[in-house]
Amino acid sequence: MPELAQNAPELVDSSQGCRESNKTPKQILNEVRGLKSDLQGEINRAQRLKDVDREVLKQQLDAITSKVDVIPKAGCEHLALLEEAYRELQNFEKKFTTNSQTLAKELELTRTEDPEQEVKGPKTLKEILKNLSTNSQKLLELALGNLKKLSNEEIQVLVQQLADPETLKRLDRTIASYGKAQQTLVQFSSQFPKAERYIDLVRDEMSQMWNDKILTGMREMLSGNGNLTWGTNIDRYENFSDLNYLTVMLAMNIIKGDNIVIPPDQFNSIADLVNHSNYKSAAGVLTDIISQHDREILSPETVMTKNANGHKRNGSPAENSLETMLAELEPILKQYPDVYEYVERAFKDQGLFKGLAFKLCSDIPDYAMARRAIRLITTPENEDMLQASLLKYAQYKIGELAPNYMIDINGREQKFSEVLAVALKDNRFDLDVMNAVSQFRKFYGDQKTEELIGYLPDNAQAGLGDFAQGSDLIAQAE
Amino acid sequence: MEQEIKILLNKSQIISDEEKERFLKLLPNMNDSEKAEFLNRLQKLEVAEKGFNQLSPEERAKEVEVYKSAMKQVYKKASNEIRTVIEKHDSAQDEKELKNLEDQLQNI
Repeated sequence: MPELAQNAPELVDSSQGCRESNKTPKQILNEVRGLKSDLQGEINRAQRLKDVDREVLKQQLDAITSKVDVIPKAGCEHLALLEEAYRELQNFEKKFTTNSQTLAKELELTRTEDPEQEVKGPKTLKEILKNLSTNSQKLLELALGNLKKLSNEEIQVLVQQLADPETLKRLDRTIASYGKAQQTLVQFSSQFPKAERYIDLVRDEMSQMWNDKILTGMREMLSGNGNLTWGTNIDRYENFSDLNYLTVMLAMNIIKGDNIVIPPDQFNSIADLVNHSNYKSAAGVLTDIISQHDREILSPETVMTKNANGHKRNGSPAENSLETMLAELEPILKQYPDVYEYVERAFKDQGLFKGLAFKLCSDIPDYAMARRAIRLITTPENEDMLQASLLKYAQYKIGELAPNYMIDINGREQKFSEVLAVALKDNRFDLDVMNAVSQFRKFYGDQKTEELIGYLPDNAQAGLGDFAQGSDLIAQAE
Repeated sequence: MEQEIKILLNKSQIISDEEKERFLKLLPNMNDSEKAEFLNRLQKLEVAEKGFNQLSPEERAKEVEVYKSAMKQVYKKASNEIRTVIEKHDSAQDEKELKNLEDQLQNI
Protein backbone atom coordinates (compact mmCIF):
# COMPACT_ATOMS: atom_id res chain seq x y z
CA MET A 1 0.00 0.00 0.00
CA PRO A 2 2.44 2.65 -1.13
CA GLU A 3 -0.22 5.39 -1.11
CA LEU A 4 -0.15 5.34 2.66
CA ALA A 5 3.43 6.47 2.78
CA GLN A 6 2.74 9.17 0.18
CA ASN A 7 -0.15 10.51 2.18
CA ALA A 8 1.79 10.59 5.44
CA PRO A 9 2.37 14.36 5.60
CA GLU A 10 -1.25 15.06 4.85
CA LEU A 11 -2.46 12.91 7.71
CA VAL A 12 0.11 13.87 10.27
CA ASP A 13 0.35 17.58 9.66
CA SER A 14 -2.66 19.67 10.56
CA SER A 15 -1.27 23.00 9.37
CA GLN A 16 -3.18 23.91 6.22
CA GLY A 17 -0.49 25.81 4.33
CA CYS A 18 2.22 23.26 5.07
CA ARG A 19 -0.14 20.47 4.17
CA GLU A 20 -0.96 21.90 0.74
CA SER A 21 2.70 22.51 -0.07
CA ASN A 22 3.52 18.88 0.70
CA LYS A 23 0.90 17.51 -1.64
CA THR A 24 1.49 16.46 -5.19
CA PRO A 25 -0.76 18.00 -7.87
CA LYS A 26 -2.40 14.62 -8.18
CA GLN A 27 -3.24 14.52 -4.48
CA ILE A 28 -4.66 18.03 -4.65
CA LEU A 29 -6.82 17.13 -7.62
CA ASN A 30 -8.08 14.00 -5.92
CA GLU A 31 -8.92 16.00 -2.87
CA VAL A 32 -10.91 18.72 -4.61
CA ARG A 33 -12.68 16.09 -6.64
CA GLY A 34 -13.57 14.34 -3.40
CA LEU A 35 -15.98 17.19 -2.70
CA LYS A 36 -18.20 15.65 -5.31
CA SER A 37 -19.14 12.86 -2.89
CA ASP A 38 -21.77 15.06 -1.20
CA LEU A 39 -23.40 15.64 -4.52
CA GLN A 40 -23.23 11.95 -5.21
CA GLY A 41 -25.26 11.40 -2.04
CA GLU A 42 -28.06 13.54 -3.45
CA ILE A 43 -27.86 11.75 -6.79
CA ASN A 44 -28.14 8.41 -4.99
CA ARG A 45 -31.18 9.68 -3.12
CA ALA A 46 -32.80 10.73 -6.36
CA GLN A 47 -32.02 7.42 -7.96
CA ARG A 48 -33.78 5.58 -5.16
CA LEU A 49 -37.07 7.31 -5.98
CA LYS A 50 -39.85 4.90 -6.73
CA ASP A 51 -42.54 5.13 -9.39
CA VAL A 52 -40.56 7.49 -11.52
CA ASP A 53 -39.86 7.60 -15.22
CA ARG A 54 -36.20 6.54 -15.20
CA GLU A 55 -35.43 8.17 -18.52
CA VAL A 56 -36.87 11.52 -17.45
CA LEU A 57 -35.03 11.31 -14.12
CA LYS A 58 -31.78 10.50 -15.88
CA GLN A 59 -32.21 13.50 -18.17
CA GLN A 60 -32.94 15.77 -15.22
CA LEU A 61 -29.90 14.53 -13.27
CA ASP A 62 -27.64 14.71 -16.30
CA ALA A 63 -28.74 18.29 -16.96
CA ILE A 64 -27.92 19.26 -13.38
CA THR A 65 -24.63 17.41 -13.05
CA SER A 66 -23.34 18.59 -16.42
CA LYS A 67 -23.18 22.08 -14.95
CA VAL A 68 -20.88 21.11 -12.07
CA ASP A 69 -17.88 20.77 -14.35
CA VAL A 70 -17.94 24.51 -14.94
CA ILE A 71 -16.16 25.95 -11.91
CA PRO A 72 -15.45 29.73 -11.85
CA LYS A 73 -11.75 30.18 -12.53
CA ALA A 74 -11.09 33.56 -10.92
CA GLY A 75 -8.27 33.24 -8.40
CA CYS A 76 -7.56 29.61 -9.22
CA GLU A 77 -6.74 29.68 -12.94
CA HIS A 78 -3.89 27.17 -12.80
CA LEU A 79 -5.72 24.56 -10.78
CA ALA A 80 -8.91 25.01 -12.83
CA LEU A 81 -6.94 24.55 -16.04
CA LEU A 82 -5.25 21.46 -14.65
CA GLU A 83 -8.54 19.96 -13.58
CA GLU A 84 -10.11 20.74 -16.95
CA ALA A 85 -7.21 19.25 -18.91
CA TYR A 86 -7.24 16.09 -16.82
CA ARG A 87 -11.01 15.76 -17.10
CA GLU A 88 -10.85 16.15 -20.87
CA LEU A 89 -8.30 13.38 -21.02
CA GLN A 90 -10.54 11.13 -18.96
CA ASN A 91 -13.52 12.02 -21.16
CA PHE A 92 -11.49 11.04 -24.17
CA GLU A 93 -10.77 7.65 -22.64
CA LYS A 94 -14.43 7.21 -21.77
CA LYS A 95 -15.52 8.11 -25.29
CA PHE A 96 -12.96 5.85 -26.87
CA THR A 97 -13.72 2.85 -24.66
CA THR A 98 -17.49 3.32 -25.07
CA ASN A 99 -17.00 2.90 -28.79
CA SER A 100 -15.07 -0.31 -28.12
CA GLN A 101 -17.81 -1.47 -25.77
CA THR A 102 -20.42 -0.96 -28.45
CA LEU A 103 -18.33 -3.21 -30.63
CA ALA A 104 -18.15 -5.74 -27.79
CA LYS A 105 -21.94 -5.72 -27.47
CA GLU A 106 -22.24 -6.41 -31.15
CA LEU A 107 -19.92 -9.35 -30.69
CA GLU A 108 -21.96 -10.53 -27.76
CA LEU A 109 -25.03 -10.75 -29.91
CA THR A 110 -23.32 -12.54 -32.77
CA ARG A 111 -24.01 -16.25 -32.94
CA THR A 112 -21.50 -18.52 -34.57
CA GLU A 113 -22.73 -20.74 -37.35
CA ASP A 114 -20.14 -23.43 -36.69
CA PRO A 115 -22.09 -26.72 -36.11
CA GLU A 116 -19.26 -28.28 -34.06
CA GLN A 117 -19.28 -25.37 -31.63
CA GLU A 118 -23.05 -25.76 -31.37
CA VAL A 119 -22.64 -29.26 -29.90
CA LYS A 120 -19.85 -28.34 -27.43
CA GLY A 121 -21.70 -25.58 -25.64
CA PRO A 122 -22.86 -22.00 -25.72
CA LYS A 123 -21.36 -19.67 -28.28
CA THR A 124 -22.02 -16.17 -27.11
CA LEU A 125 -21.46 -14.37 -23.85
CA LYS A 126 -25.17 -13.81 -23.60
CA GLU A 127 -25.82 -17.54 -23.74
CA ILE A 128 -23.01 -18.21 -21.29
CA LEU A 129 -24.61 -15.82 -18.85
CA LYS A 130 -27.89 -17.71 -19.12
CA ASN A 131 -26.18 -20.89 -17.92
CA LEU A 132 -24.86 -19.35 -14.71
CA SER A 133 -26.64 -18.97 -11.40
CA THR A 134 -28.17 -15.56 -10.70
CA ASN A 135 -25.31 -14.40 -8.45
CA SER A 136 -22.75 -15.60 -10.91
CA GLN A 137 -24.55 -13.77 -13.65
CA LYS A 138 -24.43 -10.58 -11.68
CA LEU A 139 -20.74 -10.84 -11.04
CA LEU A 140 -19.91 -11.83 -14.55
CA GLU A 141 -21.96 -8.94 -15.86
CA LEU A 142 -19.97 -6.74 -13.53
CA ALA A 143 -16.75 -8.19 -14.75
CA LEU A 144 -17.83 -7.87 -18.32
CA GLY A 145 -17.89 -4.14 -17.76
CA ASN A 146 -14.18 -4.60 -18.14
CA LEU A 147 -14.65 -5.75 -21.67
CA LYS A 148 -14.25 -2.15 -22.65
CA LYS A 149 -10.66 -2.49 -21.57
CA LEU A 150 -10.10 -5.54 -23.78
CA SER A 151 -9.36 -5.39 -27.46
CA ASN A 152 -11.78 -6.89 -29.96
CA GLU A 153 -9.45 -9.81 -30.61
CA GLU A 154 -9.23 -10.52 -26.91
CA ILE A 155 -13.02 -10.51 -26.62
CA GLN A 156 -13.32 -13.07 -29.40
CA VAL A 157 -10.84 -15.41 -27.70
CA LEU A 158 -12.60 -14.88 -24.39
CA VAL A 159 -15.94 -15.96 -25.84
CA GLN A 160 -14.35 -19.23 -26.96
CA GLN A 161 -12.59 -19.77 -23.63
CA LEU A 162 -15.67 -19.16 -21.55
CA ALA A 163 -17.61 -21.71 -23.54
CA ASP A 164 -15.65 -24.42 -21.71
CA PRO A 165 -17.83 -25.97 -18.95
CA GLU A 166 -14.82 -26.51 -16.64
CA THR A 167 -14.01 -22.80 -16.77
CA LEU A 168 -17.58 -21.97 -15.88
CA LYS A 169 -17.41 -24.27 -12.85
CA ARG A 170 -14.31 -22.47 -11.62
CA LEU A 171 -15.94 -19.14 -12.27
CA ASP A 172 -18.80 -20.19 -10.01
CA ARG A 173 -16.28 -20.83 -7.23
CA THR A 174 -14.96 -17.33 -7.65
CA ILE A 175 -18.46 -15.99 -7.33
CA ALA A 176 -18.97 -17.97 -4.12
CA SER A 177 -15.83 -16.36 -2.68
CA TYR A 178 -17.13 -12.97 -3.65
CA GLY A 179 -20.40 -13.65 -1.85
CA LYS A 180 -18.50 -14.71 1.26
CA ALA A 181 -16.43 -11.55 1.18
CA GLN A 182 -19.59 -9.47 0.91
CA GLN A 183 -21.04 -11.30 3.90
CA THR A 184 -17.90 -10.70 5.94
CA LEU A 185 -18.08 -7.06 5.05
CA VAL A 186 -21.63 -6.83 6.35
CA GLN A 187 -20.57 -8.49 9.63
CA PHE A 188 -17.65 -6.14 9.84
CA SER A 189 -19.86 -3.11 9.38
CA SER A 190 -22.14 -4.18 12.21
CA GLN A 191 -19.16 -4.36 14.56
CA PHE A 192 -17.89 -1.01 13.44
CA PRO A 193 -20.92 1.28 13.49
CA LYS A 194 -19.22 4.28 12.01
CA ALA A 195 -18.54 2.21 8.92
CA GLU A 196 -22.11 2.66 7.77
CA ARG A 197 -21.13 6.09 6.53
CA TYR A 198 -18.58 4.58 4.24
CA ILE A 199 -20.02 1.23 3.46
CA ASP A 200 -21.18 2.19 0.01
CA LEU A 201 -17.76 3.52 -0.77
CA VAL A 202 -16.18 0.25 0.32
CA ARG A 203 -18.67 -1.77 -1.66
CA ASP A 204 -17.82 0.24 -4.75
CA GLU A 205 -14.12 -0.22 -4.15
CA MET A 206 -14.64 -3.89 -3.56
CA SER A 207 -16.58 -4.27 -6.77
CA GLN A 208 -13.85 -2.43 -8.58
CA MET A 209 -11.21 -4.62 -6.97
CA TRP A 210 -12.99 -7.78 -8.00
CA ASN A 211 -13.48 -6.35 -11.41
CA ASP A 212 -9.76 -5.85 -11.68
CA LYS A 213 -9.07 -9.36 -10.42
CA ILE A 214 -11.41 -10.89 -12.91
CA LEU A 215 -9.91 -8.83 -15.65
CA THR A 216 -6.49 -10.08 -14.59
CA GLY A 217 -7.86 -13.60 -14.62
CA MET A 218 -9.25 -13.06 -18.08
CA ARG A 219 -5.98 -11.71 -19.34
CA GLU A 220 -3.97 -14.55 -17.84
CA MET A 221 -6.40 -17.02 -19.29
CA LEU A 222 -6.04 -15.42 -22.67
CA SER A 223 -2.28 -15.61 -22.36
CA GLY A 224 -2.59 -19.38 -22.70
CA ASN A 225 -2.69 -20.79 -19.17
CA GLY A 226 -6.46 -21.10 -19.37
CA ASN A 227 -8.28 -22.91 -16.61
CA LEU A 228 -5.20 -23.40 -14.47
CA THR A 229 -4.90 -19.66 -14.04
CA TRP A 230 -8.47 -19.30 -12.95
CA GLY A 231 -7.85 -21.88 -10.24
CA THR A 232 -4.64 -20.19 -9.08
CA ASN A 233 -6.36 -16.86 -8.86
CA ILE A 234 -9.19 -18.27 -6.83
CA ASP A 235 -6.79 -19.86 -4.32
CA ARG A 236 -4.88 -16.62 -4.06
CA TYR A 237 -7.91 -14.53 -3.20
CA GLU A 238 -9.84 -16.93 -1.05
CA ASN A 239 -8.08 -15.91 2.17
CA PHE A 240 -9.71 -12.47 2.00
CA SER A 241 -6.59 -10.62 2.96
CA ASP A 242 -8.01 -7.93 0.70
CA LEU A 243 -10.84 -7.42 3.11
CA ASN A 244 -8.35 -6.49 5.81
CA TYR A 245 -6.75 -4.12 3.37
CA LEU A 246 -10.16 -2.59 2.80
CA THR A 247 -10.67 -2.31 6.52
CA VAL A 248 -7.56 -0.19 6.75
CA MET A 249 -8.68 1.94 3.84
CA LEU A 250 -12.07 2.37 5.44
CA ALA A 251 -10.53 3.46 8.73
CA MET A 252 -8.21 5.83 6.89
CA ASN A 253 -11.22 7.33 5.12
CA ILE A 254 -12.98 7.94 8.40
CA ILE A 255 -9.86 9.51 9.83
CA LYS A 256 -9.40 11.76 6.84
CA GLY A 257 -13.10 12.65 6.68
CA ASP A 258 -13.15 13.66 10.33
CA ASN A 259 -9.83 15.50 10.25
CA ILE A 260 -8.45 13.29 12.99
CA VAL A 261 -4.73 13.88 13.42
CA ILE A 262 -2.65 10.75 13.98
CA PRO A 263 0.41 11.38 16.16
CA PRO A 264 3.59 10.77 14.13
CA ASP A 265 4.84 7.84 16.25
CA GLN A 266 1.46 6.10 15.97
CA PHE A 267 1.39 6.79 12.28
CA ASN A 268 4.79 5.21 11.81
CA SER A 269 3.79 2.07 13.63
CA ILE A 270 0.61 1.82 11.53
CA ALA A 271 2.62 2.33 8.34
CA ASP A 272 5.01 -0.36 9.53
CA LEU A 273 2.16 -2.82 10.08
CA VAL A 274 0.73 -2.02 6.66
CA ASN A 275 4.10 -2.41 4.99
CA HIS A 276 4.29 -5.90 6.47
CA SER A 277 0.78 -6.62 5.18
CA ASN A 278 -0.49 -6.86 8.74
CA TYR A 279 -3.66 -5.03 7.81
CA LYS A 280 -5.74 -6.48 10.57
CA SER A 281 -3.52 -5.05 13.33
CA ALA A 282 -3.26 -1.74 11.51
CA ALA A 283 -7.04 -1.61 11.29
CA GLY A 284 -7.21 -2.34 15.01
CA VAL A 285 -4.95 0.59 15.87
CA LEU A 286 -6.85 2.91 13.55
CA THR A 287 -10.17 1.78 15.00
CA ASP A 288 -8.90 2.59 18.50
CA ILE A 289 -7.92 6.06 17.34
CA ILE A 290 -11.35 6.63 15.84
CA SER A 291 -13.13 5.34 18.96
CA GLN A 292 -11.01 7.57 21.19
CA HIS A 293 -11.82 10.51 18.92
CA ASP A 294 -15.54 9.69 19.05
CA ARG A 295 -15.47 9.45 22.83
CA GLU A 296 -13.87 12.85 23.05
CA ILE A 297 -16.03 14.51 20.46
CA LEU A 298 -19.26 13.09 21.85
CA SER A 299 -18.59 13.60 25.54
CA PRO A 300 -21.25 15.99 26.92
CA GLU A 301 -18.63 18.64 27.80
CA THR A 302 -17.12 18.66 24.32
CA VAL A 303 -20.50 18.78 22.65
CA MET A 304 -21.64 21.67 24.79
CA THR A 305 -18.39 23.59 24.28
CA LYS A 306 -18.51 22.81 20.60
CA ASN A 307 -22.06 24.07 20.26
CA ALA A 308 -21.50 27.12 22.41
CA ASN A 309 -18.49 28.11 20.35
CA GLY A 310 -20.01 27.35 17.00
CA HIS A 311 -20.11 23.94 15.57
CA LYS A 312 -17.12 22.81 13.57
CA ARG A 313 -14.33 20.96 15.31
CA ASN A 314 -11.53 22.85 13.68
CA GLY A 315 -13.86 25.44 12.31
CA SER A 316 -13.33 28.88 10.93
CA PRO A 317 -16.28 31.22 11.54
CA ALA A 318 -17.50 30.62 8.00
CA GLU A 319 -17.70 26.92 8.65
CA ASN A 320 -19.57 27.28 11.92
CA SER A 321 -22.88 27.38 10.16
CA LEU A 322 -26.10 25.54 9.99
CA GLU A 323 -24.92 24.05 6.73
CA THR A 324 -21.92 22.48 8.43
CA MET A 325 -24.09 21.08 11.16
CA LEU A 326 -26.51 19.59 8.68
CA ALA A 327 -23.63 18.21 6.63
CA GLU A 328 -22.39 16.38 9.71
CA LEU A 329 -25.85 15.14 10.47
CA GLU A 330 -26.64 13.92 7.00
CA PRO A 331 -24.47 10.80 7.03
CA ILE A 332 -26.19 9.69 10.22
CA LEU A 333 -29.66 10.33 8.92
CA LYS A 334 -29.19 9.49 5.27
CA GLN A 335 -31.43 6.48 5.63
CA TYR A 336 -34.19 8.64 7.06
CA PRO A 337 -34.63 11.52 4.63
CA ASP A 338 -37.92 12.67 6.18
CA VAL A 339 -36.31 12.96 9.63
CA TYR A 340 -33.42 14.88 8.11
CA GLU A 341 -35.82 17.25 6.40
CA TYR A 342 -37.71 17.71 9.67
CA VAL A 343 -34.43 18.71 11.37
CA GLU A 344 -33.75 21.16 8.56
CA ARG A 345 -37.20 22.66 9.00
CA ALA A 346 -36.70 22.90 12.77
CA PHE A 347 -33.74 25.20 12.27
CA LYS A 348 -36.05 27.54 10.37
CA ASP A 349 -39.00 27.14 12.73
CA GLN A 350 -37.51 26.76 16.21
CA GLY A 351 -40.86 25.67 17.64
CA LEU A 352 -40.46 22.32 15.92
CA PHE A 353 -37.64 21.45 18.32
CA LYS A 354 -40.31 20.82 20.94
CA GLY A 355 -41.13 17.47 19.43
CA LEU A 356 -37.94 16.81 17.53
CA ALA A 357 -36.04 14.60 19.97
CA PHE A 358 -39.13 12.41 20.35
CA LYS A 359 -39.40 12.12 16.58
CA LEU A 360 -35.72 11.27 16.17
CA CYS A 361 -35.87 8.59 18.86
CA SER A 362 -39.08 7.04 17.59
CA ASP A 363 -38.23 7.17 13.87
CA ILE A 364 -34.64 5.93 14.09
CA PRO A 365 -34.49 2.29 15.20
CA ASP A 366 -30.93 2.67 16.51
CA TYR A 367 -31.43 4.63 19.73
CA ALA A 368 -27.71 5.39 20.15
CA MET A 369 -27.68 6.90 16.66
CA ALA A 370 -30.71 9.03 17.48
CA ARG A 371 -29.03 10.32 20.65
CA ARG A 372 -25.92 11.10 18.69
CA ALA A 373 -27.96 13.08 16.18
CA ILE A 374 -29.64 14.97 19.04
CA ARG A 375 -26.24 15.85 20.50
CA LEU A 376 -25.11 17.14 17.14
CA ILE A 377 -28.03 19.51 16.75
CA THR A 378 -28.07 20.72 20.35
CA THR A 379 -27.36 24.43 20.71
CA PRO A 380 -27.78 26.68 23.75
CA GLU A 381 -30.98 28.01 22.15
CA ASN A 382 -32.71 24.69 21.55
CA GLU A 383 -31.22 22.63 24.37
CA ASP A 384 -34.18 23.00 26.75
CA MET A 385 -36.73 22.08 24.10
CA LEU A 386 -34.72 19.07 22.96
CA GLN A 387 -34.19 17.86 26.52
CA ALA A 388 -37.91 18.23 27.28
CA SER A 389 -38.74 16.29 24.14
CA LEU A 390 -36.19 13.62 25.04
CA LEU A 391 -37.73 13.38 28.48
CA LYS A 392 -41.15 12.77 26.98
CA TYR A 393 -39.68 9.95 24.93
CA ALA A 394 -37.98 8.47 28.03
CA GLN A 395 -41.31 8.56 29.89
CA TYR A 396 -43.04 6.95 26.95
CA LYS A 397 -40.41 4.16 26.76
CA ILE A 398 -40.57 3.55 30.51
CA GLY A 399 -44.34 3.23 30.23
CA GLU A 400 -43.82 0.79 27.37
CA LEU A 401 -41.14 -1.27 29.14
CA ALA A 402 -42.94 -1.55 32.46
CA PRO A 403 -46.56 -0.47 31.94
CA ASN A 404 -48.10 -1.92 35.07
CA TYR A 405 -45.17 -2.80 37.28
CA MET A 406 -45.96 -1.86 40.88
CA ILE A 407 -43.33 -1.09 43.49
CA ASP A 408 -43.39 -0.62 47.22
CA ILE A 409 -42.34 2.80 48.45
CA ASN A 410 -42.51 3.20 52.20
CA GLY A 411 -45.20 0.56 52.44
CA ARG A 412 -47.32 2.15 49.70
CA GLU A 413 -47.79 0.54 46.29
CA GLN A 414 -47.10 2.82 43.37
CA LYS A 415 -46.76 2.45 39.64
CA PHE A 416 -43.05 2.32 38.78
CA SER A 417 -43.49 4.22 35.52
CA GLU A 418 -45.29 7.04 37.35
CA VAL A 419 -42.61 7.29 40.06
CA LEU A 420 -39.91 7.55 37.46
CA ALA A 421 -41.91 9.94 35.30
CA VAL A 422 -42.28 12.36 38.24
CA ALA A 423 -38.56 12.00 39.09
CA LEU A 424 -37.63 12.80 35.51
CA LYS A 425 -39.98 15.76 35.35
CA ASP A 426 -38.60 17.27 38.57
CA ASN A 427 -35.05 16.11 37.89
CA ARG A 428 -35.05 14.69 41.39
CA PHE A 429 -33.38 11.34 41.94
CA ASP A 430 -33.70 10.72 45.64
CA LEU A 431 -33.60 7.57 47.71
CA ASP A 432 -37.15 6.61 46.81
CA VAL A 433 -36.37 6.70 43.10
CA MET A 434 -33.20 4.70 43.59
CA ASN A 435 -35.15 2.21 45.62
CA ALA A 436 -37.70 1.97 42.82
CA VAL A 437 -34.98 1.31 40.23
CA SER A 438 -33.38 -1.23 42.54
CA GLN A 439 -36.70 -3.11 42.86
CA PHE A 440 -37.10 -2.97 39.12
CA ARG A 441 -33.62 -4.46 38.67
CA LYS A 442 -34.35 -7.32 41.09
CA PHE A 443 -37.57 -8.14 39.29
CA TYR A 444 -36.57 -7.65 35.63
CA GLY A 445 -32.83 -8.30 35.80
CA ASP A 446 -29.80 -6.26 34.74
CA GLN A 447 -30.36 -6.30 30.99
CA LYS A 448 -33.80 -4.74 31.00
CA THR A 449 -32.77 -2.28 33.73
CA GLU A 450 -29.80 -1.13 31.70
CA GLU A 451 -32.05 -0.78 28.68
CA LEU A 452 -34.41 1.34 30.72
CA ILE A 453 -31.60 3.51 32.12
CA GLY A 454 -30.27 3.90 28.59
CA TYR A 455 -33.47 5.71 27.64
CA LEU A 456 -33.11 8.28 30.39
CA PRO A 457 -31.69 11.72 29.59
CA ASP A 458 -28.00 12.30 30.40
CA ASN A 459 -28.65 14.16 33.66
CA ALA A 460 -30.93 11.37 34.92
CA GLN A 461 -28.32 8.78 34.04
CA ALA A 462 -25.72 10.80 35.89
CA GLY A 463 -28.06 11.05 38.91
CA LEU A 464 -28.62 7.31 38.96
CA GLY A 465 -24.90 6.73 38.47
CA ASP A 466 -24.05 8.91 41.50
CA PHE A 467 -26.54 7.00 43.56
CA ALA A 468 -25.21 3.63 42.45
CA GLN A 469 -21.72 4.74 43.40
CA GLY A 470 -22.94 5.92 46.79
CA SER A 471 -24.80 2.66 47.38
CA ASP A 472 -21.67 0.68 46.58
CA LEU A 473 -19.68 2.72 49.09
CA ILE A 474 -22.36 2.25 51.74
CA ALA A 475 -22.47 -1.48 51.02
CA GLN A 476 -18.68 -1.67 51.30
CA ALA A 477 -18.73 0.26 54.57
CA GLU A 478 -21.39 -2.03 55.95
CA MET B 1 2.95 10.82 -33.25
CA GLU B 2 2.86 7.64 -31.15
CA GLN B 3 6.32 8.36 -29.86
CA GLU B 4 5.29 11.86 -28.81
CA ILE B 5 2.22 10.50 -27.05
CA LYS B 6 4.36 8.01 -25.13
CA ILE B 7 6.81 10.72 -24.05
CA LEU B 8 4.03 13.01 -22.81
CA LEU B 9 2.29 10.14 -21.03
CA ASN B 10 5.51 9.22 -19.31
CA LYS B 11 6.21 12.82 -18.28
CA SER B 12 2.83 13.47 -16.68
CA GLN B 13 2.66 13.51 -12.89
CA ILE B 14 -1.11 13.65 -12.83
CA ILE B 15 -1.77 10.51 -14.84
CA SER B 16 -1.32 7.48 -12.59
CA ASP B 17 0.78 4.48 -13.62
CA GLU B 18 -2.36 2.44 -13.96
CA GLU B 19 -3.90 5.03 -16.27
CA LYS B 20 -0.70 5.24 -18.29
CA GLU B 21 -0.74 1.49 -18.75
CA ARG B 22 -4.38 1.65 -19.85
CA PHE B 23 -3.70 4.41 -22.35
CA LEU B 24 -0.72 2.54 -23.78
CA LYS B 25 -2.93 -0.47 -24.36
CA LEU B 26 -5.58 1.63 -26.07
CA LEU B 27 -3.04 3.32 -28.32
CA PRO B 28 -2.66 0.54 -30.94
CA ASN B 29 -6.45 0.49 -31.42
CA MET B 30 -6.66 4.20 -32.18
CA ASN B 31 -6.90 5.51 -35.71
CA ASP B 32 -4.94 8.59 -36.77
CA SER B 33 -7.58 11.16 -35.92
CA GLU B 34 -8.10 9.61 -32.49
CA LYS B 35 -4.36 9.67 -31.90
CA ALA B 36 -4.26 13.34 -32.89
CA GLU B 37 -7.09 14.11 -30.48
CA PHE B 38 -5.33 12.17 -27.73
CA LEU B 39 -2.05 13.98 -28.37
CA ASN B 40 -3.84 17.31 -28.31
CA ARG B 41 -5.30 16.60 -24.88
CA LEU B 42 -1.98 15.40 -23.55
CA GLN B 43 -0.32 18.61 -24.73
CA LYS B 44 -2.96 20.69 -23.01
CA LEU B 45 -2.41 18.70 -19.83
CA GLU B 46 1.35 19.19 -20.08
CA VAL B 47 0.91 22.97 -20.27
CA ALA B 48 -1.48 22.92 -17.33
CA GLU B 49 0.83 20.76 -15.22
CA LYS B 50 3.80 22.98 -15.99
CA GLY B 51 1.85 26.12 -15.00
CA PHE B 52 0.67 24.57 -11.76
CA ASN B 53 4.10 23.25 -10.82
CA GLN B 54 5.60 26.72 -11.19
CA LEU B 55 3.42 28.10 -8.41
CA SER B 56 4.96 28.65 -5.00
CA PRO B 57 3.55 26.55 -2.14
CA GLU B 58 1.65 29.60 -0.86
CA GLU B 59 0.16 30.39 -4.27
CA ARG B 60 -0.77 26.77 -4.66
CA ALA B 61 -2.46 26.67 -1.25
CA LYS B 62 -4.36 29.85 -2.11
CA GLU B 63 -5.58 28.41 -5.42
CA VAL B 64 -6.70 25.22 -3.72
CA GLU B 65 -8.63 27.25 -1.19
CA VAL B 66 -10.36 29.40 -3.84
CA TYR B 67 -11.06 26.41 -6.07
CA LYS B 68 -12.52 24.37 -3.23
CA SER B 69 -14.76 27.19 -2.18
CA ALA B 70 -15.98 27.73 -5.76
CA MET B 71 -16.53 24.02 -6.16
CA LYS B 72 -18.49 23.83 -2.93
CA GLN B 73 -20.81 26.57 -4.16
CA VAL B 74 -21.38 24.93 -7.51
CA TYR B 75 -21.97 21.52 -5.93
CA LYS B 76 -24.25 22.97 -3.31
CA LYS B 77 -26.36 24.57 -6.03
CA ALA B 78 -26.53 21.31 -7.96
CA SER B 79 -27.34 19.47 -4.77
CA ASN B 80 -30.26 21.83 -4.09
CA GLU B 81 -31.53 21.40 -7.63
CA ILE B 82 -31.53 17.62 -7.17
CA ARG B 83 -33.37 18.02 -3.90
CA THR B 84 -36.00 20.08 -5.69
CA VAL B 85 -36.44 17.23 -8.19
CA ILE B 86 -36.93 14.83 -5.28
CA GLU B 87 -39.35 17.13 -3.48
CA LYS B 88 -41.41 17.68 -6.64
CA HIS B 89 -41.59 13.93 -7.12
CA ASP B 90 -42.62 13.41 -3.50
CA SER B 91 -45.38 16.00 -3.65
CA ALA B 92 -46.61 14.54 -6.94
CA GLN B 93 -46.72 11.14 -5.21
CA ASP B 94 -48.66 12.64 -2.30
CA GLU B 95 -51.18 14.13 -4.71
CA LYS B 96 -51.49 10.82 -6.48
CA GLU B 97 -52.12 9.01 -3.22
CA LEU B 98 -54.68 11.63 -2.20
CA LYS B 99 -56.42 11.22 -5.51
CA ASN B 100 -56.51 7.45 -5.01
CA LEU B 101 -57.98 7.92 -1.56
CA GLU B 102 -60.62 10.26 -2.93
CA ASP B 103 -61.47 7.74 -5.63
CA GLN B 104 -61.76 5.01 -3.03
CA LEU B 105 -64.00 7.17 -0.88
CA GLN B 106 -66.27 7.88 -3.82
CA ASN B 107 -66.57 4.18 -4.49
CA ILE B 108 -67.72 3.39 -0.94
